[in-house]
Amino acid sequence: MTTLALKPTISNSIREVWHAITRAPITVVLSALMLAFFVLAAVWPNLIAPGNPLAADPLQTLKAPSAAHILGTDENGRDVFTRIVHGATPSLLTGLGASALALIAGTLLGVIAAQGGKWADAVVMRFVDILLAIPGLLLVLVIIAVMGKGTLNVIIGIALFSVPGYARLVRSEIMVIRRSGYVDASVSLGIPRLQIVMRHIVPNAIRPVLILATIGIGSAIGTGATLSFLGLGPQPPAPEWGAMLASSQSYFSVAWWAALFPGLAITAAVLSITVLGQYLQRRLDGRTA
Amino acid sequence: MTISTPVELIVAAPGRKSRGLAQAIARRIGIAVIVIWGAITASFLALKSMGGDPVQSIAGGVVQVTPELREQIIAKYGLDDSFFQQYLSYLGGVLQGDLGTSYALRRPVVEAIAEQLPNTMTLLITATVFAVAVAFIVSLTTAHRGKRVRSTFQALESIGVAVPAFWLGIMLITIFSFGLRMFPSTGANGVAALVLPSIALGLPVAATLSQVMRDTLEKTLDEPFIVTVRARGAGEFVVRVRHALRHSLVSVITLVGWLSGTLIGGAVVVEQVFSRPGIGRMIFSAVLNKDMPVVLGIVIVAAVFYVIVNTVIDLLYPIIDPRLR
Repeated sequence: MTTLALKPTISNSIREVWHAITRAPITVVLSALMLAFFVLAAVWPNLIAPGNPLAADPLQTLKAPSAAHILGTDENGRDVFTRIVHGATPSLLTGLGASALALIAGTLLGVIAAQGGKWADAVVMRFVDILLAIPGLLLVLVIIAVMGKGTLNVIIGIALFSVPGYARLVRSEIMVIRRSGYVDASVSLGIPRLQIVMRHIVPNAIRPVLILATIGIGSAIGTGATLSFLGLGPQPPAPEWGAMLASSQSYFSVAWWAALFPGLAITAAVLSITVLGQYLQRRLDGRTA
Repeated sequence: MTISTPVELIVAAPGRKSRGLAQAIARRIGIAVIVIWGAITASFLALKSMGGDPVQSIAGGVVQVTPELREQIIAKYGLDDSFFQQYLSYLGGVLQGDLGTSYALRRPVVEAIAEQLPNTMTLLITATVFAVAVAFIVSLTTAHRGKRVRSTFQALESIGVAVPAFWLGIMLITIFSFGLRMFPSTGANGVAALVLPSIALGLPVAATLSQVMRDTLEKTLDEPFIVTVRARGAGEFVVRVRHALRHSLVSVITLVGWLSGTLIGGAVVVEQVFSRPGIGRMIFSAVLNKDMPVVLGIVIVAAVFYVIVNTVIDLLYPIIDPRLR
């Protein structure tokens, strides 16, 4: 309602974001710190854990957490903490890359479908339907079967199967918004169609899409870890959370730390992004609502 | 306003409703056929572009493929036919209910799928019922119930979304199978073997669903018509279940259609973790073995399943949300 009176500028947005951060509740602050830790680990792992994540020590296999190895060692005597820190890079890369790719492609497809006329809608939606009709993980499996294992192909695969969700949501939101009073009002005022789409329809349709994308970064990290767990992502002995879980799974009853901590790392990374994203989303929503 | 969905077709011609409805249904079936054809074609193309020697894949365990065996295999599987011929014969076979013969299992794909399908369907259905029930109860009872309730359940849901299913599965096995010995850790024998896989598969879905549901429920509860409903003296239960819930169903149902695909993917992982026989495990090993007929067969079954679910959903929109009429 107040969008007519308030003209958001870039400096305004930055101030809003800063405002949001400084007055955030404790869970959000903790999430921000956690995410900062993972980002630092991804960008500069040696700062946090200077050891070699691949260094095996046959005399130190499956040792419980101690002063020397704060999260214990795995079945090859490698330091679990070092491996988790070095495993942040592929995980964050997967999450960000896949979510960004899917968001951009999905929103574009959704807008084209809703606004491009009957034929554009039919073609785009059939393409989306076909993508969607193949179960997500199977689509990734097929991509990997064709293009090979590895992080980049996992990213492309996850993005591809996430696209339909965004495209459909954007399209259905626009369908409802198009029937709303303010769009009718804009049309009757003679405002050009493109301007109505950009000024009124897209900004209103994008909100639930951003919520989905927030959850999307998290779930992309989860899916990436899942694919590594299945042995399709980064190959051993490369440190990766899902792969670490897979190799330590059979030792769980004797060495719980080797499987517990990589799983906690996945959960913590996904959780911090979700909490932070939803909080910022609520703040930004509050500004335009 | 352009007419662009079957839903709109149904509702755009009130004067000749029955004709419009018949047209819309015919159109929807046409779309379903296109989608299934597209899914078959896309996966056929993708799997045909896979590297490796198909003869070697078919021969499987046989280390040295003799020229005679090679010729036999090529003749039997029509591998020297042109690309288009192979595609047409596959497509023709599918239309007659023949999904080909598995390279690795050496038996008809339809037979192998039929054997494994009940296990997976049971898992999918129990996981969905579990997820939807949890999401409904949680979102209906916690929407607009004060800051503390909201943040508590938001935290729980965020954790639920964040926990990877395979890790959840491993934890559940460790605690409830190895520790408390309440449920079996592997297999598909009986109801007890279904409990842990259903939770591992359904919990992340439940968390996502209830997040979205509460979000839309709260948006709806802030709308003016809810004030009208309350002014008429409706109780809180009626307001939520009869009025607000219906409004938030549109966004939820869009997600349910999407999640029905996600769950099948999830079954691949959960069946792997619990060593549970089913379609998911079958397709995973088929992709690793490049057992193309099995992969294509399962893709088609999954696509048909998905198309049916979503056709129903499309027809439900105007029934649930009269604003779309």
